Amino acid sequence: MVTIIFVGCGAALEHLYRQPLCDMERRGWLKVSAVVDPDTERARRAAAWFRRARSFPSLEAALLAVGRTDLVIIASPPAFHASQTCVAFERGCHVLCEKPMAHSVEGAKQMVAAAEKAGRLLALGMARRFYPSVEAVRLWVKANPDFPMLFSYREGSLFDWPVASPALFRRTTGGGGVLIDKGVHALDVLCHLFGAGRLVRSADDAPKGQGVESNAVLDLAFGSSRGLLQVSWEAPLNNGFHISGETEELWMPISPIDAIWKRSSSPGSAWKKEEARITWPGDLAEGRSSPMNIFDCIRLQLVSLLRAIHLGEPLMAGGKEGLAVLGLLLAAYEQSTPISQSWLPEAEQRRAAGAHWRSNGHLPPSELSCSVGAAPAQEAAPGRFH
Amino acid sequence: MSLTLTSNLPGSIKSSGNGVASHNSSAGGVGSSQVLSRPGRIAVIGAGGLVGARLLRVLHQDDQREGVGIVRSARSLARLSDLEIRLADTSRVANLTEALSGCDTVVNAINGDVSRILEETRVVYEAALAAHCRLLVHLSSAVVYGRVPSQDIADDSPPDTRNWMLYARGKARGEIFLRRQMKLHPEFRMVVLRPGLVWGPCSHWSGMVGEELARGRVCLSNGGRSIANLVYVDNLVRMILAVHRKQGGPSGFYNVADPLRVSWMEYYRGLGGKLGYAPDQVCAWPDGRLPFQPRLAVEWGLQRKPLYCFSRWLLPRMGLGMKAKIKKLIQGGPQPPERASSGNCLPSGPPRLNREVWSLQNQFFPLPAEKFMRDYGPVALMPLEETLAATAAWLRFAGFSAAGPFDQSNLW
Repeated sequence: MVTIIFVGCGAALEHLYRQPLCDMERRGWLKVSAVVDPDTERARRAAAWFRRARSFPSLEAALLAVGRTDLVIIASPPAFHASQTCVAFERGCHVLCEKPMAHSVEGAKQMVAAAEKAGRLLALGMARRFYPSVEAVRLWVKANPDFPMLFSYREGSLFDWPVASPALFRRTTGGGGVLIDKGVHALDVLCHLFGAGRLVRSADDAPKGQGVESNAVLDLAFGSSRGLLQVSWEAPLNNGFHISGETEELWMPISPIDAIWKRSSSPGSAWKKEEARITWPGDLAEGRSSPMNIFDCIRLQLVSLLRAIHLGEPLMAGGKEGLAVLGLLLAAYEQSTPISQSWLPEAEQRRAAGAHWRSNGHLPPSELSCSVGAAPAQEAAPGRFH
Repeated sequence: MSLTLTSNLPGSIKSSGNGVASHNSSAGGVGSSQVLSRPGRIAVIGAGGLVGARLLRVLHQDDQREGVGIVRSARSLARLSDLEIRLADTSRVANLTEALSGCDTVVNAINGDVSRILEETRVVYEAALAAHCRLLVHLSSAVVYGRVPSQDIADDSPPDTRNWMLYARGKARGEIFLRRQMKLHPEFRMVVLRPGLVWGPCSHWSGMVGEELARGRVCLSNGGRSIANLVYVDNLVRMILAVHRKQGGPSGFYNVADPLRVSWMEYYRGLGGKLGYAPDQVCAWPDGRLPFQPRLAVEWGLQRKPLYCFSRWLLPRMGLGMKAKIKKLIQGGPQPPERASSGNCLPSGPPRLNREVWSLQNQFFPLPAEKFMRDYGPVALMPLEETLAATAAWLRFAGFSAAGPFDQSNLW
């Protein structure tokens, strides 16, 4: 049985991991031995959800007290991911780290190096790779490898995640705003579908000081394919993932996760809905299951990790994948320009641009830029853009 | 306990164990409700909503006045991360009083649990009094008159407390409570504004138009002839600020609306035209029939307070799969974007609208809004053409242009 310490007793544990972890504990696949949070009351409350879990204010204290630990799941604010992951590896644990992988490329590289040194697994919480719709799109992209594709990936809604604290909205603790929240998932899906990517340009509306962006737009190139990624915490956008290929167009809604739509590129053709029936290993034996929602995907992600630990199967997303996404993310922040807000009065537009967090010149780029894990830059289908 | 998040303290959240808000902004610290309120300091309760967030953003750029946002939960900080925000419980007078400290004006723009509107109205009123504020601007809604049954409705007509919508009944009861307080405490200035549909960038009522146009499924009821009682978000903000600006202005109830009244067809075609959609892509059904759909029954049931409260209790306890099924039943499944040319103007039947939208599209009388301008005017309101252009620019930014989802023309 795999023993687990869960770090960070916020909304991710309560609303995403609690149910699948309790279920797996009942089945005897794992045991949550400790939960960690500096807010001791919150940690105590979370410990009560599991059969034999104890609460601790720090990972170090938990590791010392509970003895043998196989896996540490890290869902604390991003600023703590690298240090906590390294502590876990030093104690010989495997790690599942929630997104984003780290606060900096340096931190992410330390995590990968620590995993290699310890000979342990570093898994990334990228549950969308288990979406049947994402897998159906990946197979479609794989079947059309040479044609330059055009894509748009939009995901926007009024922020409604029941966060336990305002840490997510401060640059020092959250690392960024909507791009780190929704954007990381979208970037991971794009890297999963197209391979290594390159940032062409980016814009956001983050203000100077400690505030974070609530809107972000990225122009991205993946090989000869190119398109945009737009995310918002303010309002719904024209949500969904739209790809135009050589002869076909494809549309994937953000939700539900079990269907995609296809139509011919010729004018007048109608959309056809296709159920995406993809199955993944659903237990530690031969069972398979097709996820219907994010809970199922979180569960499958945990199953995949347990299988990797027990059976040596490959991880769905590990350090290399996390670095590729983090590279694009940090490049987007480094090259960020003020977002165009042409709906505002002109004076307000000027003021917003002047108050942009990068308005006094770009900060020095970090050691690795957007080319982390990326193929050499190529110009991609520029003639097909408006 | 109330918390204060200030923009000049990196990563800091100040809280106190005794329910006293501590505040470290350079704008002036306060620690108790006994501190004298500062002229020009406006507390915006419900700052995470459309109107509250916009008002706070405008105040942030105002040299004469300061805005302090008050929200109930940390999640509302997502779009306000650079502004001065206080976290407070709007169901507790003492807690809200602390959060209001140092402010001379309170704007109640709460838009949350519709079963608690009356209770929250009472708490905001009592907290504003206790915090020695001089002015309370309460945002009610034109929906207190239901479908505006006649042209004789005036600003001081009594609201309809038997409306089918829980939200409308709550707003109506809130107004009745405030009307009583106005008589009991005439020295405390209270201005109740009744906006119609608040539209503009980030508004549901504008996003809805973009969404329907992009999906090729616009079909208006009643030929699109009925009145859309709209108020552009920046116009509403200007009216709120006009109330604040006029010292000694009268207490009272005011309908507020855009200067030019438009029909639903004009609204849809106005926005659609600026997004590149042809006029005939806005379809209409000639009469006001509403075909029965199961979701109408669900919708109707949820307007009963016990069922609504039960659903609010149940939703967080429900699995995502079940939630998705219910959402699909109420809203229908997702639809991919259509090419702009595929619109047609030959609907096969009456539009399958939800009851709220159907009700709005069957309203033939505009609410009179002259009283506000008499008491608080003149207010320079943005003309229709300008507001349509600004909203269309935001809709293009959000990806709803007729040029399709790959269009990047309004993004860079």
